Amino acid sequence: MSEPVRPPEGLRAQVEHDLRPVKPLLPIGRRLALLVPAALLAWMAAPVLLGLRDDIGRVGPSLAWGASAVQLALALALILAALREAVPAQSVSRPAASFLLLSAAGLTIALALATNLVSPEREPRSETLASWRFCWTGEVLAGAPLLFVLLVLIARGLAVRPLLAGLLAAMGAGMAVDGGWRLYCNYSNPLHVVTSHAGAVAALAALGVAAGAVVARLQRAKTRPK
Amino acid sequence: MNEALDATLRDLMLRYQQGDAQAFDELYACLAPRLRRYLMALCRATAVDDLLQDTFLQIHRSRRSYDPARPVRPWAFAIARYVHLMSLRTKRRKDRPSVPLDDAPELPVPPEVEGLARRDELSRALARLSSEALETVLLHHVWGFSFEEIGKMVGMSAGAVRVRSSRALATLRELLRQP
Repeated sequence: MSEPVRPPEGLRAQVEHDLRPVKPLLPIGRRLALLVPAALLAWMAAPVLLGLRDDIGRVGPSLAWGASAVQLALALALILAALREAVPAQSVSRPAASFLLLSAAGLTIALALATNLVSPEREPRSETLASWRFCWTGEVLAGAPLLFVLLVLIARGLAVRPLLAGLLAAMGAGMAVDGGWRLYCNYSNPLHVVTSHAGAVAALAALGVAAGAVVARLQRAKTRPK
Repeated sequence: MNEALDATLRDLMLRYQQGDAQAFDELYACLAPRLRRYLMALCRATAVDDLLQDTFLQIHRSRRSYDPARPVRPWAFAIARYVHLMSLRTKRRKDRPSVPLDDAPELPVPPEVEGLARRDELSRALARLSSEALETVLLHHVWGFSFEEIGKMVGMSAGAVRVRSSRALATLRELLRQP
């Protein structure tokens, strides 16, 4: 008769040393549902606190509110993908992740161009460093709390590809904020929108990847027993 | 058969999440032989005890990430795969360690090709497949994971996994036809 398979003594001792009951993570759909209000807050922050852009009527409801709602929906899809990446055996496929990330980048640039086409700045305002910095800093600060919450959720799971998880989370936070910020900012100039607004999303993305690298390092350090 | 096993593993995992040490032992007894063979196939090596232990340590640390609504085996296999990849990165080893074919561990044989040759010939032919192709064939044809489950484990679409598996089987048949 074969011996029953038993865990090695060292492993058994380590497990027993830390065998407190744990609460399983909520299913991904429920965690996303709990994050919807946070994403909505990030989306509404600029229009509610700073007001709507002067030419919102000229831009039109579809390109203003409709396109921003699409950005919010894309943000939620990115957040869902990030949450999935943080759970083993729930990874998103590479084509799906690439599609989401490229759609986010493409949509931001396409909306900048389309808005400028519909409502160009008749007397181009001089792009000052102050206006550039205000939008860039505002978007990064508005997106940072949502990104922080997402990174905590990712770190509590086990991301098999932590850099991708961080990038998806950051792009999700960036899209949510950018969708609202473009309803507030009066500058249609694509140079301003691409460098300042999209630049802020890129900065959040870099932050997400860096945080993902930290998560990866922590996970690797934990893998080998001391 | 897999459904009954999945139900048992789910119950054990729930007890383990609640802090039951006996459940961990039973879970180990159920999963360790399967994970050992998977790690052997991934590493092309027979000495996988350290990796197996690391896998169970990672399972322990990540036990809260198990969703009771889903089966345990894909979750555990995905963690084993993650530990293997981390080990490759840490040791900066190449993707395919050069294990001579005669020293390669005996690999499980998919039923689809079982009758095509002797077991040792089949095992040697399997060892000549690329790591990705071998992994897909074993996960689907030997351990019974669906293409969708494998896709979520390795970060690919179910369609891409199906194509990879079918190509791998074709390559395997081709290898077995060669004298």
